[in-house]
Amino acid sequence: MQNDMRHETPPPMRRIEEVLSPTLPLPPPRGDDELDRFLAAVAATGVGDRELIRTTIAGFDHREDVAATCHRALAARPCGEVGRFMMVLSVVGELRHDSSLEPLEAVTWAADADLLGSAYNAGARAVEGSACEFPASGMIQSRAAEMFTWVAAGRFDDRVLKIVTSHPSVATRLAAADAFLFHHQDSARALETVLAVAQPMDRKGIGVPRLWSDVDPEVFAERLAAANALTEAAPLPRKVGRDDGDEGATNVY
Amino acid sequence: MMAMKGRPMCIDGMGLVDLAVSRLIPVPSQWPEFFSWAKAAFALEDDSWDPAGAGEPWRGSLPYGKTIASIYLLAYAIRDEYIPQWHARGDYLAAARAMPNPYHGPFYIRFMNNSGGSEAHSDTGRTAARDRTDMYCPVFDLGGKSDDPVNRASVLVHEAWHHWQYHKGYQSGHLGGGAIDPSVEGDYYYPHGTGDFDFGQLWKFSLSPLRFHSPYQVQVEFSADLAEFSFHWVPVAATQSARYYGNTRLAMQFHNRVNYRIGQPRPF
Repeated sequence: MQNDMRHETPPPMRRIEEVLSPTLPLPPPRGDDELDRFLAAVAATGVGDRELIRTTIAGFDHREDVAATCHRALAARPCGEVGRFMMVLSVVGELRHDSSLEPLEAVTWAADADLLGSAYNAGARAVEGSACEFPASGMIQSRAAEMFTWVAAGRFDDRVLKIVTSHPSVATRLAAADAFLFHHQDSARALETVLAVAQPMDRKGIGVPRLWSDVDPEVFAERLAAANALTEAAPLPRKVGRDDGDEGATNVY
Repeated sequence: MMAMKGRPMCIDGMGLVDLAVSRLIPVPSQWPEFFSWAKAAFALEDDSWDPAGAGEPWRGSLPYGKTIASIYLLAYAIRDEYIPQWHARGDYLAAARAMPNPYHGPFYIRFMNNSGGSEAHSDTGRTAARDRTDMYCPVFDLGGKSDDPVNRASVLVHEAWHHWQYHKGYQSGHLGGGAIDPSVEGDYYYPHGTGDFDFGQLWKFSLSPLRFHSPYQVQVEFSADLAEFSFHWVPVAATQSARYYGNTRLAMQFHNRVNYRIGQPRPF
């Protein structure tokens, strides 16, 4: 094989480190313009500074007014720019104000076509062969269900379990089930509760381990291996040609 | 953007996540080596990119600049935590690059100013012509559900994996049925533990024991690693996107149920 080594390695990483406005901390957003400025600042915050987002929002006064500003954004149909809408959902979750429960529930149950408008089916059609598609259904509603469950903080279990049982998107059903378990400390009783109401086809996807930044690698590996052992194996991939195609094949692991 | 006659155009503009990533990237006059490397390593030299911002690679509102932002994430964002990270940053980057390497032969990447019916598509085994990947409007359309730098990066990994399949002699189409949502196609997920593929070994495979990757699988593993094992400076918006896209694909695009979820269901 001929490898082109010139482009093997990217140049040493660089990034703009000077402060670009807007950045946190900022005062609570009072209107649409201020909300956009606030969302831009939150979005650009480095993942290592997430605590700054939490403390900034925790320090807001007039939280109901801030929540109301966010709720107006969540009421938009279609939802507009998806990244912005998802960030509003996260901010509403972090605010954790009870007035957000109904708006979050409304987004959770919103129809894909209403949320996405003309973008509903773009990039997700059954097409030929080696393409990449993304499903139209469930991503936004999943985040809304997670944030509803976060704001509810262990209350309104019946409304969370209704999502698990009845939501048209499997992605949202599974997200709601995971959020329910998370807020019940992943207890055996909570798992029993959620499995009892889940659709049969969803049960294998509920109670699976979470891969997250601070997970204990050994615990994750053990739980993953245990779950994989109970899962029907995928069939062998289909060989279709190329005599030299075994390059890279190895049985050494 | 100039439209190709008779075809709908992509919708230019920069969403919140692209904005968060683009503002990190020095402009070409400050960092010419990155822009020239990205253009060469990903073979973005086709003239299809000319009306898509190739002459203004710093403009993150145009498809070329958006692709640059995604390449930036591929090249630098994942911090290489080792176990439990699925694979190394360099593995995903090597797979996604268009230059020949142990993953695949050479290909080039075209910009297609139409919806294409999908996010992207790969042509392999072309006769007397270089293989290629086509990127369609959905991954660039402002306001669309696929217009996200993390998702775009994962699509580059996905499509490159079709070239890997061809290079290794395996069927490269997708499938339906099983747990795959009827609205889309998907793949089998070939489960493996974290650490089963040592860093630098993603290009390898084994049939016994079965250690293999499908395109959607490697795409989701990239999303998971970017969501949870990024450097501290990676924007929150990018890591959150990685989690949303990854979990949605995990739920809807695999024939067999996958036994993990990405991240915790917290606001931040």
